[in-house]
Amino acid sequence: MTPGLMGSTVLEVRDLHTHFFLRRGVVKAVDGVSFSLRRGEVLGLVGESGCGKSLTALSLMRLLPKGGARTIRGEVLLDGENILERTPAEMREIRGRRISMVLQDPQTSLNPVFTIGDQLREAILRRKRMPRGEVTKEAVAALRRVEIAAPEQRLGQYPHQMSGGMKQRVVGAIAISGEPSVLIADEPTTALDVTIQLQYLKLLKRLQAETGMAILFITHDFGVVGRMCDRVAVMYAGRIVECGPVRQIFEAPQHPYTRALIASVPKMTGPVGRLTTIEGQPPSLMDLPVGCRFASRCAHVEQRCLDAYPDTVQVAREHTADCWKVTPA
Amino acid sequence: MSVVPPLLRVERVRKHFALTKGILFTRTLGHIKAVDDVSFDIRAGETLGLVGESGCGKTTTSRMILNLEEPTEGRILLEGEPIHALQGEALHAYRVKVQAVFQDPWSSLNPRMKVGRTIAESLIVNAWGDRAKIAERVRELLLQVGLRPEQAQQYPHEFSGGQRQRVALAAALASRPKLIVLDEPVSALDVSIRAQMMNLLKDIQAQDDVAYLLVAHDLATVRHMADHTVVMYLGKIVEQAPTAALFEDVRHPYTRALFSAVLVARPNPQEEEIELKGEVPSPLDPPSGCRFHTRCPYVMPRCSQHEPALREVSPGHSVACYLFE
Amino acid sequence: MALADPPPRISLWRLVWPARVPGGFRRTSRVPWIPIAIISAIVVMALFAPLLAPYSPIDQTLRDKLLPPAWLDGGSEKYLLGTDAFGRDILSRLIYGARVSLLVALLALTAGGGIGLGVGIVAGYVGGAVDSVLMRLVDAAFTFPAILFALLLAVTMGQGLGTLVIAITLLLWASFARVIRGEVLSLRQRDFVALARVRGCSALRIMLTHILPNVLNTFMVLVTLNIGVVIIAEATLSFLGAGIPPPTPTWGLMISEGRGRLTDAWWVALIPGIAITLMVLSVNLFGDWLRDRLDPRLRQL
Repeated sequence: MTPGLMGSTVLEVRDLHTHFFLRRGVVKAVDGVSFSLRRGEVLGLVGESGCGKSLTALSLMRLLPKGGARTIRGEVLLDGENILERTPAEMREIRGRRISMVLQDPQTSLNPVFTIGDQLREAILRRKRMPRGEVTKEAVAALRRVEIAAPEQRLGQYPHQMSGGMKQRVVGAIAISGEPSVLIADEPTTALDVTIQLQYLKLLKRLQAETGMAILFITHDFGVVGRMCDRVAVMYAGRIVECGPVRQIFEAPQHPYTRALIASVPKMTGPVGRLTTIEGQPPSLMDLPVGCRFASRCAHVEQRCLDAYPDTVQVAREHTADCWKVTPA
Repeated sequence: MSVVPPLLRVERVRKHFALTKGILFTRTLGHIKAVDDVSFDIRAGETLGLVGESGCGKTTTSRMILNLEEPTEGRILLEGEPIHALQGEALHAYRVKVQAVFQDPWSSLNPRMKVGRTIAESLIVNAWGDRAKIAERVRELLLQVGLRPEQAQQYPHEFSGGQRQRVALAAALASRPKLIVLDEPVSALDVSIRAQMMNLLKDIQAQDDVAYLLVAHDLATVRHMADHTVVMYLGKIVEQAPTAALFEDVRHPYTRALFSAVLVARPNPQEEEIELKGEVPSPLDPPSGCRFHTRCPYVMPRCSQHEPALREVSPGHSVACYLFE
Repeated sequence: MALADPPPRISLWRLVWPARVPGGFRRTSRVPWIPIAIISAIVVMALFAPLLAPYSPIDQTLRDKLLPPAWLDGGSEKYLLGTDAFGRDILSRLIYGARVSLLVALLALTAGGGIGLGVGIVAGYVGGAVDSVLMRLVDAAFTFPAILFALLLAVTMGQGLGTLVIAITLLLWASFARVIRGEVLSLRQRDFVALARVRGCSALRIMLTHILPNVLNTFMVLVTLNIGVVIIAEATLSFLGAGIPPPTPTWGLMISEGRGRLTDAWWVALIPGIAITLMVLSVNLFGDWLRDRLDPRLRQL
């Protein structure tokens, strides 16, 4: 990564709250999330299912699922401009061009009744009017960029004629066709085989080096984090509990949740013994405790953990943790 | 090799699915060779890991062991008896001995059946005992997998994914089987829940002396669970060895690629990754010779002409590759 | 936990063509109170006909024949909805007619629905040759001219409730069988069915304890959506003279009797016509709602 590309903040999220308003009550799925993303970096957003990581991504895209989800507070600053205040029409212009997304399941990401070519051309034409021949040329170039062999033939194929890895490449090609400055990748390799996953991750890295886009990489897999990310934000029960450079998160995790989570991953080396587990369940997002959300499962819990939510503590350069028991730098 | 006969023996098993077209006048377009000449043993109380990527035939193999599919050729023996010839009482006896836990905890439980009833099912159909005895066993099983006995009265939708997988395990354990086929038992679970489930599986093996066939794609899981590991590619076994030996000394180029594709939880491990080009070829028309030769970085001329046989390279460690002849 | 809330499925083409209403509020289908009220009223009418009807439905009072409804010129307060050509009270006949309609619906849906449910489960679960044979039978049933067959049946067996129910059963079972089979085909792929086999359950046990309970929702939806079909079929067959023989009042028969006098005594035919329309509309609206509630996958029905 060229140092010149890294640095300036392209996306900044401040105190984001997205809740589900249901008849049974309010589900606080994203409850005060803040982070920033710099040009040319990969920020990993890690957590277990139900922690709010995917909903955070959808809030940034302003594509909340139907069924009562609303972003009620916070700012999403894309190049300094709060996109939460943009009109739906303006948002359509922003999506795909300035901020784009790749999702887990390539099966549902592509429309089964149109060819790959149709869907790529559609995406290209949304950016710029141009003659037919040129659109096709651009579509071929886009497929070549994601390293699909024989792109001219692929254009006429339907999604079901391609393998999962291939489809995910097409999805990637569509997502970056507008040259966005931010790409949100929500578990893009979870449905792929391991050797195909590695190919895809390497491809994403290469594309990033070419374009200098920032990637928000959402995953539950610490292996993928280690391979892909520059910085990591760990989410638990609707909040980011720890955020820092990837090396520090792995080598000196500060938050007890991060530590337990990393310890519970089965390793490829070292002794084979009992795995460390985190007992209990995360709290209900409908009925969150006043104190630290991890307190009920934490081995180091104290009274103050139950009484109030801890402040975000700067533990090292660029490394923060929400815990009463960490020592500030 | 050991003198004790294995619990389960898979003997030169093939499974070919005919691909047909038309309803009335069917034409066979070809055969998908899902499993092609596979042999291995599982010993009592041990765990055998079956590893490979999608389409390698590991799930088809496990379904044949469960007697849900008939092999096209070859046989599978449980305690010396061919399982696909079993009928009536003998088949029932087999069903008691071999159980399964599948990957998807949302599809494994009947949504309209109380979990207690699901757990008791194999006891009921095999006339294991009277109602009170069965209820007592269900209670015992729920406690064994870390659930509360009163949860027997609940329906699956009241459980989380990890809890459902525990229920599925309790149901598999009910008849005190000798072998449980675990088809990706933890891959749908969250990291912290995954560790709980893996520990539980190991505890139960230690208590009940049950053997596992662990079908998985995640090598780290296999490393923690399996005593013996079999690696499959496109319906063939490419390498098999005691797990510790395999992780120490990976031989087959495909296994090596698989190992190097494992992303470990540490920052930027980019050391000597073998990135395989292209994708797994179609099992409908598998490559000639060694099936891996189209993607192998060490391919030699004879790899495309002849098929390498499994050959022992060190005690218990066999590889099907010309590099080791 | 774990897969407790599967990630929202938003596809990439949604990025290109965003939904009209972004985010927005939940659209809950409202409980159809008016249809429920109408259905309840008709059911009550049928159940308590002898208590509710002001007159006997078959006694003729010829001097009061063809009186219009009470609110029209020449109408009598004695007969709220007027009288027919034999001087029988239309309201009373309507109330008693509901009995026949509902009885036929109950019997035909039990028989036809039951056969369809059984055939669908067996065809879908057993598969293979059994499935092929059963589904060809279903195809045959669809091509069968049901009305013609009913008329034939009426000629050979004689008119009556039995004939009517048999004819409508033959009309119904195939559509039940087809939908249920489709449902079973997808259920059969679920792991719990394979696991039931691994536990040693027989095919019959799997069909009864694992498949049947999981198609009951669909079955109930089909039943409600087919009540309308049965009522229309009964009316049609009675109208054609292949249904219940006169003088037993049925709504179809009442229309049939009034059809010759549409110009001078339109109410004789129109009033049972309105009753049929209201009933069928209500059960269909109710069925739609039930389908959305119980089984959103059946929307295309």
